[in-house]
Amino acid sequence: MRVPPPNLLKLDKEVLLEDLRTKLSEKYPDYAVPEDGDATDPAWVILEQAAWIAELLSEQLDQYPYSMIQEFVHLMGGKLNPAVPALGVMIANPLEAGEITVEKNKTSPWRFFTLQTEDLDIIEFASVEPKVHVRPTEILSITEVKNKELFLVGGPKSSNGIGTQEAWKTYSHRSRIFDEEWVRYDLTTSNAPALIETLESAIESLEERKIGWLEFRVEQVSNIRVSVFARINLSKAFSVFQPTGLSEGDVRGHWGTLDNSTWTPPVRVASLPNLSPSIRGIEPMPGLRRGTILIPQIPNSFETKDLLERKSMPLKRDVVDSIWETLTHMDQRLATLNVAVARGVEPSTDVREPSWVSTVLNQELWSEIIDRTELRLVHVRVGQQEPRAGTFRLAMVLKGVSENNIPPIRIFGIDENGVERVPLRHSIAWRLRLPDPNAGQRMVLVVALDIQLSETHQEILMVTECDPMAVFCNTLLVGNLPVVQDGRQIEILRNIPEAVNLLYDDIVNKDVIEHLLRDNISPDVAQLLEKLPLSFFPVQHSNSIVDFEGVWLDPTSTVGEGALMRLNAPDRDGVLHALRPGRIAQLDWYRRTDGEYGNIARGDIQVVEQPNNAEPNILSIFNPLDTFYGLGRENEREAIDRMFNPSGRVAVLPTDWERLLRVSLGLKAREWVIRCWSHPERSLVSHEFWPPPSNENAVVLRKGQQFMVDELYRSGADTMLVIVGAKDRLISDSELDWARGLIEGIVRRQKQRLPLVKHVIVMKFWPLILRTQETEQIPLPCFDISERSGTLRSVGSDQEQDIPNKMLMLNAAIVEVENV
Amino acid sequence: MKKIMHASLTMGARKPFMTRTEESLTRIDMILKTQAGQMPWKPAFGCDLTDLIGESATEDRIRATQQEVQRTLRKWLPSAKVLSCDVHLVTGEGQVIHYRDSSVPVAESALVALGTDARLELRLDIEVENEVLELGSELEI
Repeated sequence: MRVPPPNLLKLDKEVLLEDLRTKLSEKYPDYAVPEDGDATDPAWVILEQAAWIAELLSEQLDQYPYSMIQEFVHLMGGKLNPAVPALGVMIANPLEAGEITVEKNKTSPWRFFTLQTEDLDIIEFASVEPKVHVRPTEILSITEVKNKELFLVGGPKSSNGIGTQEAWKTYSHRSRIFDEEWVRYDLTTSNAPALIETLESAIESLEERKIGWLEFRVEQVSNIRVSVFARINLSKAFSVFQPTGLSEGDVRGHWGTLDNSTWTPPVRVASLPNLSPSIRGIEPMPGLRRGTILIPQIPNSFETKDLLERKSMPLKRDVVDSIWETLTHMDQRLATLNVAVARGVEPSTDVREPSWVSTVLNQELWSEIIDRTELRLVHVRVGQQEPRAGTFRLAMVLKGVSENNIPPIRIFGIDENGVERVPLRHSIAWRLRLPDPNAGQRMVLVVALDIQLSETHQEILMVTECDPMAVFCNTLLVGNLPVVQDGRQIEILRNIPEAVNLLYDDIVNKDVIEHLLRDNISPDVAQLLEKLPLSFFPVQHSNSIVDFEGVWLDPTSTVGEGALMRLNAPDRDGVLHALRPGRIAQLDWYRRTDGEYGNIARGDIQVVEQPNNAEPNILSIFNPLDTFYGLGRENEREAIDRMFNPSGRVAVLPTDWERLLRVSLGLKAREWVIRCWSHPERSLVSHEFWPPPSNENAVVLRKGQQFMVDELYRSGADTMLVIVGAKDRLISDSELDWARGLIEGIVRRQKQRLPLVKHVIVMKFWPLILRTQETEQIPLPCFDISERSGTLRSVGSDQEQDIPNKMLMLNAAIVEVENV
Repeated sequence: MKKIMHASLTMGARKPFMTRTEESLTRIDMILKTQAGQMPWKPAFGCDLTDLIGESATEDRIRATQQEVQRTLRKWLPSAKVLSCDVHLVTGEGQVIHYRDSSVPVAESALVALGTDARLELRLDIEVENEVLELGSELEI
């Protein structure tokens, strides 16, 4: 629809000057007083002249007939903003493996709905991706390795149904799975009873070594095979000093080492309520005699089996070898035997404990998989009802992660033979920002992965440095752009444009998708949306009209009922699909949207509609996060304000930007320094970044920001440098990340109205203290260092630095002066 | 009265503001060298000496000029106090070379020696914020 007439367009000179005076007086308080030498101030005279010209010219605009202005604005692309569909993610729980497809020229058989409520009708969602492979799956566990210890951090939401496809990270809990760790030494012999006797006597001799924590068990497997099981039993260490198993004050235990090893099990005192708080969680003290430990202040009659707990980490490979070596030293006959080692953990009764550990230990893959100090591991069972290779969709919800810098992810396939050493191929299908379910300030990032599985894979283990809040299986990208099956047939009677009203008001065309993509949407989702089929109108004896190409459509038209489409009229790109009289065009299907009503809460999408023979058959659906990005159609008043108002909120000068950013960063950035450096400001004078390159200790810090500095020098006048930070400390990386996200968003929005600044580089502000003999007062914070003498140091640091021989510090300023 | 910035872009170390003397000179210069009506958005601004053009420089006119200068300075520079304002007629007499080329007639040569134009010279003593300035300028008309 065209924009209705606005108020008069004349800009009053006095109003403009008044506004200018307010802005100027923030920087130069002298300007606050009107008429104080204004007439003879050359700067003010120029400003008066500019305001006078603006008044003169804007007055002329009112002389034009409005229809002309309206047409002119319309030609320039000024029209009401259309309703924009909401986007979200949805989990599907399928009965069998299969692909959910969206084909060109065909409507998808699967439709997803919310329930009708007292306020809202049903809202329909549709899959946006051309093809998603879904299969019956189940999340088994989410674990975390921190400082080599294994923690349980979450599991599936429920044990059956769609809840098995969704797991949220909960509180962290140390895994107890290694309490039941065992090592098996398999021996082959022709005389099993004799070997058992030898082994038992060796074990008996080993008992006298007072190792304490090590326990053996011998088992005859067959006539020619004997197995020796070794496991760590912490309570056994106290059996000599506390034979009853109950403590009497200080507790002592045997804690010897193996041959050729100094290793003892890493343990800590259990954090139990009846133990003294001072000893909870500490490591045992060395005892008076070598090879013993002492734990003081244990209450009387405390059970020693609960006293120590093992750190949640497996035995190292060299310890496993040392155990057997020590045993062979007890009886040299054992040294001649060939031994096969197997390892594992006993299956835990706690369902949250991970089941992949045994396999990984047995294949000696632990150190290969756990190669970082912090990792998260997600264990998923991938359905094998119809064994066939294909992709598997897994999504993670990440917080505080940039979509361009997702930490590495490795995915290992698990089949009957155990874990495959080579990670599976995977690719990022899309990334979408959605509101934080915990109502945080920043949006969370949903990253969907397509993992290539082979026919034999039964389970997968995802190992990542990301810290996912949640993990979802079979995740679909959905949008509130359902298909309308119209079905009317329009006979073309004349060669002139033929107007047709569609059945709904807010129709989705390329223009609507473009409006949606103006929001903070990642390029991969943008690519999916751009390729989404939008409409299909077959024409008798002619090419079909696809995606409204070659026809005129105004999705915001209010003439008649429903959006207005004109056949035989060119589209916005000037393409015309010519239809000769007598042709019949069938309005087969097109898409519509509910605008802002599409922004629904978590769990609202519940109903799936599909034909009986649909494959895969979807049993249930669920949206684990709120949907977002839906916007209603712009009303006329908003359009006038947007297009004709003086550019009150459009930032032009660096000071405008500073004010705009300060308002947008809000309370969290109160008292922060926000400094915007435009291209002329930073390119006309010599400048330096803090820490200066002469500071050798700051090499790492400098390296971290060097790529931004290099990028700044490569970029041109459309890139602005923004420095943010507190005056009393250096802000953290996460604070900078938060500010950067917000600032980039503001720049993106401003770019739509006035593309003077297209890119922004955001850096931390370094508060500096100047130590000087000068007594001259300087305005603080002071970025100008050219006339300063003395030394500089950053707040919180003791290292004094010489003042760089430049004029400006761009990312640092003097916030305090110390006179010596 | 507020400070005036330099007319050029100043960044870094240079002080962007003019000194008090520079500032006063700039302001006086602006007033005297602008004719009324030259600034369409402020037609009253300036010193109107256009009446003098082509007129003979009699004592009355010179006095009127002096009054006009004093009036405009009082109006547009209210913080300044005009202590004295002298306007003199300066002719070219005595500054012209008396050499006569043989081709130039005697009568014309005598007129040239008197000077071909006359200028008004202004001498001002003005007090701006407890600072007395003496300045001389030619009035361009």
